[in-house]
Amino acid sequence: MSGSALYIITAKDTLIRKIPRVPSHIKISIENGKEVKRITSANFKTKKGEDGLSVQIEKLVESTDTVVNQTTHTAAFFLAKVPMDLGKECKHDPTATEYAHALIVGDTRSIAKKIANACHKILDEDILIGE
Amino acid sequence: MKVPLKINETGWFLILNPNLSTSEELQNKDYNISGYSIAKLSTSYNQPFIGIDVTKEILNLPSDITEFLSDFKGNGFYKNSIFKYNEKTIAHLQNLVDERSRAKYFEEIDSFKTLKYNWDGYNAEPTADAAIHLAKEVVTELISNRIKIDICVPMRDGGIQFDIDGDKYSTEIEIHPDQTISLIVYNENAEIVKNKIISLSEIKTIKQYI
Repeated sequence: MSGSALYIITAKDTLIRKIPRVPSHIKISIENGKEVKRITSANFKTKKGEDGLSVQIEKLVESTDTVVNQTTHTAAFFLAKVPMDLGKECKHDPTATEYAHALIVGDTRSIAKKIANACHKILDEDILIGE
Repeated sequence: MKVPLKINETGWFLILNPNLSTSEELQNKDYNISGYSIAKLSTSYNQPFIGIDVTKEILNLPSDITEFLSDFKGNGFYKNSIFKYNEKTIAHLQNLVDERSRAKYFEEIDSFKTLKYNWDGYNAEPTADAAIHLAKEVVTELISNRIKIDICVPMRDGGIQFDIDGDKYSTEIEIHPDQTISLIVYNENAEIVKNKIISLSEIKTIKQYI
């Protein structure tokens, strides 16, 4: 899908956020006797001066390879419902090089941990606890 | 979650080569020196643990382990891979664990110096030298207060973040490039219950949340 029309993100859409492989941002812990992996919230915190947190809309991505250089990054997947339910606007924000680019608008520092905990999938990782 | 070692406890340790299988319970309560797991058994456990034969492995233990175990030669240790510890040896073990832990995190923090602008693919800043310096002081403070670090990562604004997860609360320490420190405490629902600037000497207050 491409073109000039903006896509309307719904709560059911999955959003993708690139995660650097080194240094690792995935923490491993033992919960109820089982190994679980979680992403640190640091990945989902905006820095000062940013309009919002950059993500990619899974539905608009032809393949994960087009947004993630898998030698340097992995990717976390979460539902747009998570930031939306916390009052954040998610808007399609295509760039010259990335049609699938979107923004979780505004400062995301206060909701970063919620997003991190709600990730239901990390590329190449199979033991993840998300909401 | 690994259990912090308490110096004033009495009980038994079991040393295991990581290649040998053991129960999940032991795996969850171990310490690691030179690749060897040191598992603390229940304080009520008062018999040598015979079920796992690691005698051959024990004879080839690295020198830094045999050094602190030297007190136990002739005390059944080589026969049963079990020893009873006292305060002196526990303190020695704790120092070894602390030193290794500190060195590990210092090395990790130093590795952040190589990060270049856009290291996360979303215009993240290189880690600030001031944050690196302060983060090492925070590591020393955390370790000396027996606070276990779950992960230490660079932040997108040039700072450094420590995650410390407890049973009821999770805490994050943010070291900012301007050398301020933020403490953020989350409840089980990942809701912020505390967010304040703290001083280095207040790091130990995190204990109440873990």
